[in-house]
Amino acid sequence: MILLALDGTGAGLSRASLELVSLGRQLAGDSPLGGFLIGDPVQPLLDQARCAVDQLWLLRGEGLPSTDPQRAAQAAEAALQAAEAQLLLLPAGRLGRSYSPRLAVQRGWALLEDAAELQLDGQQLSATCYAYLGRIWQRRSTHPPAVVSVKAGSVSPAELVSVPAAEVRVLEVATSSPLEERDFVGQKLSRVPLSEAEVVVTGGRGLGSQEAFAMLEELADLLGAGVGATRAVVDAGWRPYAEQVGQTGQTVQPKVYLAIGVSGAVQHLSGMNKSGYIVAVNKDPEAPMVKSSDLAVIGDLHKVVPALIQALRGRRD
Amino acid sequence: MKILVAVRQVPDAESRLEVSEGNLDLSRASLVLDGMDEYAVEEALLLREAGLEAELIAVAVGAAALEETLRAALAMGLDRARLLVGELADPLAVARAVAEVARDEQADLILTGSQQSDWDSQALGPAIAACLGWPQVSWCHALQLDGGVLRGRHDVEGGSAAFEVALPAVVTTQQGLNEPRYPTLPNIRRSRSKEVRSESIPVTLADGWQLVAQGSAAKARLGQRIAVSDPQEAAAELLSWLEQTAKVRL
Ligand SMILES: Cc1cc2nc3c(=O)[nH]c(=O)nc-3n(C[C@H](O)[C@H](O)[C@H](O)COP(=O)(O)OP(=O)(O)OC[C@H]3O[C@@H](n4cnc5c(N)ncnc54)[C@H](O)[C@@H]3O)c2cc1C
Ligand SMILES: Nc1ncnc2c1ncn2[C@@H]1O[C@H](COP(=O)(O)O)[C@@H](O)[C@H]1O
Repeated sequence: MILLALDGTGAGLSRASLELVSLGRQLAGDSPLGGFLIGDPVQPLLDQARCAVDQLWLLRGEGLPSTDPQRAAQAAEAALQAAEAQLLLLPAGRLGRSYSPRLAVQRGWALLEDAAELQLDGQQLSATCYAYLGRIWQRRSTHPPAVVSVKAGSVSPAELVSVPAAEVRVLEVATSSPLEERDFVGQKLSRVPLSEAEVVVTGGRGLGSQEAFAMLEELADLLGAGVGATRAVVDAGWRPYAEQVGQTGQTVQPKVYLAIGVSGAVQHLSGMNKSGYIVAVNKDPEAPMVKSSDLAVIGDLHKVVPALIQALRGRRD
Repeated sequence: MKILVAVRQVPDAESRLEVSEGNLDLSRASLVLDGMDEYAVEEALLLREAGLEAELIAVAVGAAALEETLRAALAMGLDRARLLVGELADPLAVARAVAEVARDEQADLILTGSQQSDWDSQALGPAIAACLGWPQVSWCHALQLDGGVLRGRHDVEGGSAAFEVALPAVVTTQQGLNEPRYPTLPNIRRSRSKEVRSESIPVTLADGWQLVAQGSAAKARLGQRIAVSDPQEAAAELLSWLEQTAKVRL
């Protein structure tokens, strides 16, 4: 059986889970599809999960759900055993990627990370993964049983049928971990979450000061865009870490990415180079970001951005 | 006590990577210590400078040329190195080899980068921990060691959290943890006489993944330019480009 690691909020399944459901259906064909939820789901989430898969396991126990990979791996292990699964698909987020290697090692299974374009062909499982900070694509293949973390946005989310048909089984799992976690601080998300924004406006050190980000926010508001930042800007304390795009921040793939005063270091490019269109505003025509862009405006951002704001406001009135 | 730091050799971030006929040409790339691992090396040094009595050991798995990268870690200040020469299969195989060294050395703490910048893998740290049955702390950005207990903060799904865990443990490091030092000249000189123990390991391709094809992921970009002489005109031109070419509704 193919098993999906599902999650969600009070409103229902997360987007990543719905993507797993589409992919799981594609790979499972006519065979039943399984899924699990860790913790005690609220009714809307449970209802949606029952519409999404054929068999659903609810993994309950003290300390669950948890951001601790040791606990998550123990819970998932219980579901894998109950389902006698040969393939586990989980979302390639922080949590998924921190416990998937544990499961693979414990079970002696293969592991594919951040996989896209997954194909199951008899006993051959293959996927496209990116390497060298996103500069190279690789087609990797292995044999099930396997644990696969699936890249966000690599398939379209499933549209659920409205009949909650899945059989539900509750598994009580006792998890334990030597790791103690406390003082959780949630990421303060910008008005438009970066992962879902159609347009992202990112400011780099070229803005020159924290105050200059006020104009960037105004531009983003006028465009209905999310605000991103480079590491240089986060290190300077001008913007929160939650806005950082790149190797150690978020990976984004909007329709349009506007990079303003951003040089385009490879660690930054790796987090946004799959964007639909890239627009750079930079005074340096040799900047790597300019060279990787569809459109580059070569000039002083302190003149260009106010002019953009003025023009957009003009259109509003 | 012993701290093991697992390091990787990757092409310098500025190198141009070219794939021809399915082979990645790294012959013109300069190979360096992974930037993510520099945080791990630095943190081991900082723990000792904070008063810990510890031997600091670098470990690497892969080609014989890795000796140079191990020397770079020694030049930053680690004491000695272990090199396991063998074909790199997949992150799990590398993790098993590192775990073997940890057992052999009876290490108490293992530090490594959170994401390798060649396979873009985040598996190495968690997989080493699983091989040893140790806890892992991923994406750590603040760390202290106090009487065998590690405390700090790390990134978790949706935010960050404080943590506490007793040794032994695996910690994966990242930006924010510290500012990696540059090797000083005397330290570079000293590193040349430090021990790098090299041994070969069997290839363990069996249960990993295999590479079947690869290519450049660089998307062809339009490369259009607007030179700003009049900002108003440039702004108008940019907005109409967004509407017409990128189909953004303004
Ligand atoms: C292990 C590791 C991980 C990293 N992870 C990340 C990451 O996740 N995200 C990330 O962003 N970086 C990351 N980095 C850092 C990265 O290497 C760069 O240092 C960083 O991205 C540079 O930020 P920047 O473009 O804002 O600044 P700079 O490189 O200083 O660029 C500023 C740009 O602004 C332009 N400019 C200046 N003034 C003006 C003006 N008036 N008008 C127009 N243009 C102007 C300049 O021409 C320049 O191109 C990482 C580095 C390492 C080693
Ligand atoms: N992964 C990270 N890398 C660098 N800085 C971070 C990271 N996570 C949080 N920070 C910053 O560290 C400080 C403490 O944040 P917190 O850990 O959320 O309490 C804040 O300035 C954060 O923005």
